[in-house]
Amino acid sequence: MDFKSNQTIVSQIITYMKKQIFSGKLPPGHKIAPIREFAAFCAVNPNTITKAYAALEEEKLIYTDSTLGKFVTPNVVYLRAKRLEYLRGEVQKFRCELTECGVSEEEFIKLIKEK
Amino acid sequence: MRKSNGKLFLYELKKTFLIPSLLAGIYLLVALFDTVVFNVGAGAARDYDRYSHIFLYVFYAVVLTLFIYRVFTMRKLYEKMRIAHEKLFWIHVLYIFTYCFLCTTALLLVGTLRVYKMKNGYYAEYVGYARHSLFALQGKTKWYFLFGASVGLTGVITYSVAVFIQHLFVCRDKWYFKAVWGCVFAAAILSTHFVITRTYTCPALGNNEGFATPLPYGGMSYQTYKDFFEHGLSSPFDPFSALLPSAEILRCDLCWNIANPWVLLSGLFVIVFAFVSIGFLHRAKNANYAYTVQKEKNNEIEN
Amino acid sequence: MFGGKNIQKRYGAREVLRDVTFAIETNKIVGVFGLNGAGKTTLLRILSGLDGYYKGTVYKTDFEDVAYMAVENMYPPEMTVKGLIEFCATFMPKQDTAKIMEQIQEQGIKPKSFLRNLSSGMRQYVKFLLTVYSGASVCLFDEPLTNLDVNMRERIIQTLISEINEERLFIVTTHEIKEIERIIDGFYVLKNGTFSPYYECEQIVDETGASVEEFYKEKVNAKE
Repeated sequence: MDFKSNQTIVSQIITYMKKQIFSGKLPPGHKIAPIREFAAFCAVNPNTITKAYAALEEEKLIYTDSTLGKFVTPNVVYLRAKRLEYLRGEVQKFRCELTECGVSEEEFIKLIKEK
Repeated sequence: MRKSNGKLFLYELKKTFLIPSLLAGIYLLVALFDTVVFNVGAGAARDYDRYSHIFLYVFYAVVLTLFIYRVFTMRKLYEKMRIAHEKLFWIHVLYIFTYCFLCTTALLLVGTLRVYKMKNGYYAEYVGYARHSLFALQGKTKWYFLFGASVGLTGVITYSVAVFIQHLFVCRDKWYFKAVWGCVFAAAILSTHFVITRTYTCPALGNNEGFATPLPYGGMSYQTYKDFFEHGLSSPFDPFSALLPSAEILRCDLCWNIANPWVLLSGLFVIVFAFVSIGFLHRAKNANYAYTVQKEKNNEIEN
Repeated sequence: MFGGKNIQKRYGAREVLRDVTFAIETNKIVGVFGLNGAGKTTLLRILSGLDGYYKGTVYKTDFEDVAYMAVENMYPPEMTVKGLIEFCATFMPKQDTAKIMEQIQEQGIKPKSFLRNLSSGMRQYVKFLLTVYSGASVCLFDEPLTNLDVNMRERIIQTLISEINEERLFIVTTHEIKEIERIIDGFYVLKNGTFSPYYECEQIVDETGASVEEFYKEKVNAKE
C-alpha cells in the first residue's frame, strides 16, 4: 500500500478503512483483519494500526469482541448516517475548491455528466 | 559478563576435539596394530620411540596452532556474546593440557606395551633398552607417567604467551603503557629461562633428586652424556652401561621440568601472569554496562 | 526500558559522542539517523556491549539480552553459514534457528557455504536474521537496508513488522529514511555527539506537514 509522505500514516489508514466500510467492501458486521496482519499488509508498524483501529473504534465504526476479534459495526442505520456525514464533509471540501476556481453549480453538473 | 559456563565449555570441546583425536587416534591405532601383530626387538622399539618422538612434536604443533588460531579469529564473536576473555583462557588451558596429556600418555602406554613384548621376546636387548627409552614406563621412576603433564604444561605456557601478546595488541591502552607491560612480561619469561638454565636439570623430566633414573639429556651419544654427568650432576651412576658409545639418546624438548620446584613455579608464574594481564590490560573498560535499575530511578531519565 | 545516560566516547583527542542520553520503552521501533561519521555505529557498539571503552551508563530494566547486527564482519575465515548459526544458537538460547534456516534456504543460501564466499548483501541478510530471530528483547540494527536489493528490503521491513511485540524493542540506523519511516514509531537525530529529543513520526507529520525525511534533512543540516 502506498502512502503520501505529507500526511500522517494513521490518518491515511483511517481514511482508507472508512472508504472500505462506506463503499460496502467491508459490509456491516464483517470481520476486520487483526492488527498484525493488517500491519504486514500495509507494511507499517503495528502500533500505527493500533492507533487507527482505536480511532475507528472511538467513532463507533468498528468494535472489538474480546474473543473473536474486531468487526465492522452491524448497525446499518448508524453506518448510513456516518457515511452521509463523511460524504457531506468531502463534498464541502470539494465545493470550496470549485468556488476558488469560480465554477457555478450548472457548470459542475455538466462536467459530471460529461464522463 | 554472561554466566553460561557449560555452554562455552561444550562448544569449545565440540570444535576442538576432532583434529587432535583423529591425528592421535590414527597414529596410535597403527602403532598398536604393529605392536600386537609383529615381534618387537630393540630395533622395532627404537623405531617406535623415534617416530613417536616426532609425532609428539607434530601433535603439539597442531594443537597449539589450533587453539592459538581459535583465540585470534574467534575473539570478536566471543566479545559479541559478551564472554569473558578470562573464561575462554581457562577453558582453552584445560583442553590444551588435556589433549597433550592424553596423547603423550597414550604414546607412553603403547610404548610400554611394546617394551613389555620385547621383554618376553628379546630379553637381552630389553635389559639395555628399557631404561633409556623415551616412551616406556619400564626402568623409570613411578612418577614417569607425569611425562604427559609436563608436555601439557609446556603447551599451556606457550598458549599463555600467545594470548598475552594478543591482548597486548588489542587492548586500547596508550602505546607506552603497552610497551611497559610487554617489557615486564618479557622480563618474566627471561627470568623463567634463567631459572631453568641455572638449575641442573634437563628439559625432560628427571636429572634431579625426584627421579631415581636420569633421563636422556640432549640428542647426544652416551659418551657425551656420561661426560656431562661427571661434570655437572650430584648423583653419578651409570645406567647406560649396555649402550654403545655412539648410541643415540632421545630427549623431549616439549617437557617442562615439573619435577624441579623452581622450574615448575616459574612456568606457573608465566600462566598466572598472562591471566592477570588479560584483566589488567582491559581494565579501562566501562564496567557499568547495563545494570538493572530500580523502577524509581527511571523517572530521572527524560526523553 | 532501554537507554543511555551521558554516554561519552573519544578516539584519542577526538570526541565522537559527547553526551548521549535517551530512554525507550518496549514495543517500539526507533530510528537513529545522522550523517556519515556522526557516530551511529560507535553508539550501537557501545549499547550492545561490544565496546567497553566509554564514559557514562547503558542501562536496561527487566530484560536480559541485547542482539546487535553489526556492519563489520566478525567471523573467522573458515566459518560457514551453519557454523555461525550454531554458534549464535549456543549462546542465545531463545534463538529461533528453524526460522532462520527456513529463510536462508528460501534465499538459496546453502548452509554449508563459507561466509566469506557469500555476496555482501546475502551476508548482511544472514546477520539480520541472526539478530531479529535471536530471541533477544533489544535488537540493534546497524544499516540493515544498505546493500540489499528491493525484494530483500521488503523482506526486512516485513520481518521487523512481524517480530516487534510488547516485550521487544528495535533500534535501527539507516540512511534510507523514506523506506523506514513507515515502520518506525519515532527517531533520534545524532548530531554533534548528542541526541536530539525524541521525534514521534505521526506528531512530526501532523504538526509540520512535512515528511519525516524532509524534517530530518532540515534538522540535521540546521546551523546551531
